[in-house]
Amino acid sequence: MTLLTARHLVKRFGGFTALDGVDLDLGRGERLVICGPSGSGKSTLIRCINRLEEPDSGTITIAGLPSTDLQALRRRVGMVFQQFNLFPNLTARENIAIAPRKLLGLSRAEADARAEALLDRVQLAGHADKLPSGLSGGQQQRVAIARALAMEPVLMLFDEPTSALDPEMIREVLDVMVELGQGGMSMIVVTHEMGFARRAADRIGFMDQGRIVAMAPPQQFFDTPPHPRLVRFLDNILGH
Amino acid sequence: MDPVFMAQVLVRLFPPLGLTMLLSVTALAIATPLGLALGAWRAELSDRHPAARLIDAWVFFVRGTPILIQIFAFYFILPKLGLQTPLFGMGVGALVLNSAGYQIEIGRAAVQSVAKGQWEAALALGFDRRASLRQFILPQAARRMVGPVMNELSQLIKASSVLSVITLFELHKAAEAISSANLRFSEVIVVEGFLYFVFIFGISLIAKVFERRLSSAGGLADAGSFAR
Amino acid sequence: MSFDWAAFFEYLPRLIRASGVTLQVSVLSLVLACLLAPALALSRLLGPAPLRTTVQAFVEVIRGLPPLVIIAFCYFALPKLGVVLSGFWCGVLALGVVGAVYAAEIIRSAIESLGKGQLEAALALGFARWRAVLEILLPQALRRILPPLTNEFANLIKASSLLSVISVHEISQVGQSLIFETFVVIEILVQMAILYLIIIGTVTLISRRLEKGLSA
Repeated sequence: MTLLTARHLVKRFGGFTALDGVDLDLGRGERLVICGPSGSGKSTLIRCINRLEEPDSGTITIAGLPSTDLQALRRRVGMVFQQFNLFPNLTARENIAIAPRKLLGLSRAEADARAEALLDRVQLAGHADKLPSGLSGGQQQRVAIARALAMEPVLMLFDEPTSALDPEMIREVLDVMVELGQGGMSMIVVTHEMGFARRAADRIGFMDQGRIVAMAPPQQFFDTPPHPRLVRFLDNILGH
Repeated sequence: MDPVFMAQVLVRLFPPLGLTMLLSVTALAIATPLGLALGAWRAELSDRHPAARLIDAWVFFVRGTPILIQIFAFYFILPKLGLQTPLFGMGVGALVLNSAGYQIEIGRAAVQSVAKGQWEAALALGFDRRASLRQFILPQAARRMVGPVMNELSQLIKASSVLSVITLFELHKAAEAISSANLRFSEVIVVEGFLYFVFIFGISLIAKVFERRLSSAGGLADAGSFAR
Repeated sequence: MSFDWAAFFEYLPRLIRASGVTLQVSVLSLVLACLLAPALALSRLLGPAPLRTTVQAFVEVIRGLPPLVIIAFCYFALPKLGVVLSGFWCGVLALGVVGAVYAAEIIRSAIESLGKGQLEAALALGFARWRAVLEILLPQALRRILPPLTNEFANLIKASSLLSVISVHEISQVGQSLIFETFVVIEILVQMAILYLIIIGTVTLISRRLEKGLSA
């Protein structure tokens, strides 16, 4: 069953075309990884899905969600940023609880309980009262994932979630994402982590110059790459 | 609002406007090298050095009192010391005292903002501290000071209006004289305000352009405020 | 030339009383500025385009004029428009408006200095823009606002000296009159300087303490 349908997405920034007519489908419970060189439009694509960028033309439909009420849409679509963007003046628990409390109307107790359950789920049970400055990068990103999950989204978007992390912390974040996917969450992940893609993706898409030029399940994607540009990309990224 | 009258006022205010600009630019020309040199020097001194104490005292006095008081100091004290200075000289003197006091901070911040690595590279090559400062640090610091210095010119133009209190016939005093003569306050003030605004706003726009162009080297935050 | 201590102490009480007026004017204009500034800052951040442009134009005009001109406007031009205020209240109005404009800039740049990421994180969770600014960004910005704001208070106190030209009996006006009446110069000037240094020095000290306290 299709969750998300995007057609003919175009987005320009000044003279630069970031998205050049992109079509995308995502099934319910499907895990899609998108990769590609810098400037290929991967971030712009997922930022269009939750309207942090407004496409110049094209349509995006998410099943069961309004397309004109931005806040209602964003409440059901979770996003995890490369720079985590935790609120620095709030503890881990408060970061997770604030949106359910202020936007979903949960009481403080209910929101806190939800926050603590999520902290447990991302393996950060004892850290509820810590400020972001007291957490490592990997821990902060896990809190960020919990914060997005607290709104009970139907779709999770990840914008290069591990690119800003020290190498030894990448694993803990990817593990959370794998577990999330196995639990049935629909996700679109922009990343360079090919190991994760191979392990956890149902399909992998390759973008180049604003278009999706290849899309295939992991085995086909890596073993018989369907596009020359992708062949070169994989050579570079897996070669060293 | 009579546009003909206002045009006449505009023309009559050109010479005093010239005096305002002369005062401001002269003060800037003296205060900027003075302040920046002292600021760069101060960055190098330990806090307990007597020269450091003097400089800090100057900055403390200039920032801790209104510019009016500093103007009074020149206006009332110089004659008592037997120095018959023309009003223009007193005006410039007070503006220099004030502006240099603020630019010491600009100079100090600019020098300190040049990355430590630059110092280390220069010293490692064998330059001594003074030569390093002159050859490598000051040029980089100078680039960061352009914006704040242009901003300082804006501040001086605003401050020059206070010289009206000692009857120096700059723009504000002249406007005041015209409006008390014919009681058409609103119209005169609009013309006066227009003249000040064109220059002050114009300079801050140019300053922003400079800061954007030079921001690859890193700029300093706008220290602009209204009171001196 | 020796220091006339007798004269010093004879005129001190009058100047101390004048300090009271200085403080009153400064505090009242600070209050007005604090009431007006958030309205200005938030209209620039959240308002519809025409409101944003109007407020921005107003802010640029006020910033582009010497305070004396604004004071003169309140005292001489406003009566022609039907608004007649005493020197004291003209002072409060003029300094309050000027202070508000600079305070609004402080607020606005503090919020913008938080970076795009914070706003986006809040928007991505589903906060409407105005709620994101008020409930997520503003609390963070507060600690960046308080120190420069107390510095603006020091500037208001210095600007109060300009009210001497509209006969408000604050320190500069009283001191200047005394000098003209008595020809005692150094002693009175020194008193004026010391009084300002004490008042402004205290405010600066408080500002530094606040800065330390908030950055913890």
